[in-house]
Amino acid sequence: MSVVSIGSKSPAGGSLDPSEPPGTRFAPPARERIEAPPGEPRRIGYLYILPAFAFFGVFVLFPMGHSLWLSFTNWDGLTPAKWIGLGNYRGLVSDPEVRAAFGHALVLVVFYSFIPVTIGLLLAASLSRMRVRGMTFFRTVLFLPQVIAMVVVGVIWRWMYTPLGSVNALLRAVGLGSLQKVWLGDFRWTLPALGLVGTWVAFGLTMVLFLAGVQKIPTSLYDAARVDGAGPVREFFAVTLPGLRNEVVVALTLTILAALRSFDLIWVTTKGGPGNSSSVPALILYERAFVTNQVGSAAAIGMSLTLVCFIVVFLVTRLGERRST
Amino acid sequence: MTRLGSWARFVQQRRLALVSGVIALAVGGIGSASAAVTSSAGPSKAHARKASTTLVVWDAFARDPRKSLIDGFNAAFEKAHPGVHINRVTKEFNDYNATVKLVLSASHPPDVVTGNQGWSADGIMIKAGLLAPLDSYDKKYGWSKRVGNLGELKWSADGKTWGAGHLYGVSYSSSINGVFYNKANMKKLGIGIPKTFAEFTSDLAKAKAAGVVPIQLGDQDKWPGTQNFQMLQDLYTSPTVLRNWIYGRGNVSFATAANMKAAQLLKDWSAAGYITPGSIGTPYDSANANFAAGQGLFDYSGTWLTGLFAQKMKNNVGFFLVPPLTAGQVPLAVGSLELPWHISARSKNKDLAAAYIAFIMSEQNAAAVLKSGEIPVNSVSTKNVTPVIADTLRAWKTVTSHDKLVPFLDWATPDMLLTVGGATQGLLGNHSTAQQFVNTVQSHYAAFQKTRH
Repeated sequence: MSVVSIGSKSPAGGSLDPSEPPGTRFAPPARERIEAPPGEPRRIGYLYILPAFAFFGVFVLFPMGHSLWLSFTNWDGLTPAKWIGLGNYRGLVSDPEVRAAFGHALVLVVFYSFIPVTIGLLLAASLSRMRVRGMTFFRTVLFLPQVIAMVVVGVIWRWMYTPLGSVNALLRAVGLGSLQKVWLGDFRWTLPALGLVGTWVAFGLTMVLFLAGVQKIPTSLYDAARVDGAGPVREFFAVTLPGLRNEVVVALTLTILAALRSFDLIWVTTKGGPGNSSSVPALILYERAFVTNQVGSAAAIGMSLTLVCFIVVFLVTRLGERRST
Repeated sequence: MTRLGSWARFVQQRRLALVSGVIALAVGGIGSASAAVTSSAGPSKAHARKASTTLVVWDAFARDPRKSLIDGFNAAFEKAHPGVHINRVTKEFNDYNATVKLVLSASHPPDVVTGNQGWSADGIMIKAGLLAPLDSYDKKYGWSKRVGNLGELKWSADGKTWGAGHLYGVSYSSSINGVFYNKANMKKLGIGIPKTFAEFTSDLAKAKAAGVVPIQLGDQDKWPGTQNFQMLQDLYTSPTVLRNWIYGRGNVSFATAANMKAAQLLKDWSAAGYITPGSIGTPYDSANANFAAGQGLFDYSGTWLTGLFAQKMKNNVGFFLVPPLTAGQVPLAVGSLELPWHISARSKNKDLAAAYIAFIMSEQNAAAVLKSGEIPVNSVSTKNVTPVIADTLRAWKTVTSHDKLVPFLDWATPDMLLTVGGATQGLLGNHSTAQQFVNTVQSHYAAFQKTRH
């Protein structure tokens, strides 16, 4: 294809110089064709990805490499950094507050990811068996939390969770007044209460993903399953779940990452309180980088969090691939 | 805006506006922040022309009434100094804190900046050699004589010792903590301003029995409760011990019987309902708004709330110092100077910068400062001001003239506001013991002291 050979002497473009001998004009492209089979990428291809790669390098790879370097130093942000090797990482492992924060992030994974994915799947399964009037309306309403900025979500829920807020009012209204709590001021309930906000937000995403995925599954598969006498449960495991495999992988990846990186919701509502009962790694990272002048340690948290994210995404993707073979 | 710990200010100013980019940092790395050291362009260069000089001033007073107050000062200073132009850069407190250290280390730093007392801001800037000592200007303009104790702005040149040494900044106003009280509710309960701490405690019981919230407190923001702890701590300690602990002098421990007693008392008060029920799940602003709306007998806080209460409650609010254990004693009170003004070590216009700060500090501006609801460091007439403002000024004079003003606990280490804030929530939420409280604070304190040497 002539498109690929821009920059080399193109047989299609040709040379307008009549003095040039015809034989030499065509020789180089001909040789290239022999070396590289059709469809194989050529070196010129790197030129095409250069702009994007340069951007990626400057704004992602370089800061990441720099962070990695910082994570091996003791740096206050102003005076010269001191190389301390793995000191920051050792500090993180031995710091009960940091360990607790990573533990809280894992709890949030359940609320941000596992619960919404489960609900989304159940909903998709039931909707695959029936038609609902006004589906577009419900879909829009349920997706709405995804559209709202997390900070706004945090402010809304912070007020709903206050002692005199609407959550307690609702409990009273339905006769469950004994369950009333200071939701964001309770050492046991704050983290689950914040997790529920995450569920509320993530649920819209998983639902839209799965509903779209279900529509893609050929109805003939459902017909076949029903002819074979499959009930709703059997149908779900035999048709719906395998058909939604890719959507599940995407939903798990997005929501788990959101859980691990969560910061804004916690920052707006509790600042990790009461005590440290809802602190998360990103919160400690922020505090160390911008409040307590421990930039090296903050970078180490960032790198650790990045590593955890990579591992999780890798595992989830592998899970999806294995099922597909 | 106030003399609060750095986070407290942060919370007040930027409750909603958040940098979700921080999350990007978690994954993308801190590098981008540090890269800014070299890439961030400094403010416009001070053009030293024949008859025109530009003074670049960075401050964190981005909100009214202070924003206008400073604008007024600047206009008046320019008028008094023909040929001088002030280029003011002001940012919200958290943006400001994240950038001021970087811009001071850039190739063209501002001439004048506001900082913040403590290790987290002033300390590290002095350690990095970014701020100029002001001793000679102090001698010239007589700040120490007028303001009194400026220890909280004094540091050793290496930034490792705080509370003594060279003077690095000055402030034109100050704040003090005490009890705001609702006069109508007090009358209804048939009580007066308590003279002793025992009377104060029995007033709390009376209010509780009458269904009035005794002390309004919203501690969800994790710092206000700390000050309520300190209210009780101040009863059982001496200014010297507390100052030594905060400034890291003489190896003072936090795990003392006196602190345990104060912690236990706060815990008991919370359990007895003397403090807003569910205080740790209640935002600071809503508790204060409730008090301003007439709910509650007392609100223990700093004079940064004077303006709000004076505006909403008019003559129905007053202010007194927490009464002492024995009648007639002058009680300790938490308080400090406001955000200090500094001069960049690399400013080319240091004399002009000092003249500018001296102008802000001058006595002619005191009335304007008082009108904005703050306590000016210069003496000022309290004629025609709202009663509560006069109360706060009187309290400030009483405490400072007896040398009973003590600094905020969170000054002790860069992470103390977070540490003691979280630990206090443990007391208020009946989750931890007084022993655990003092141990947590002491272990963080000791860890920081180790890094200083």
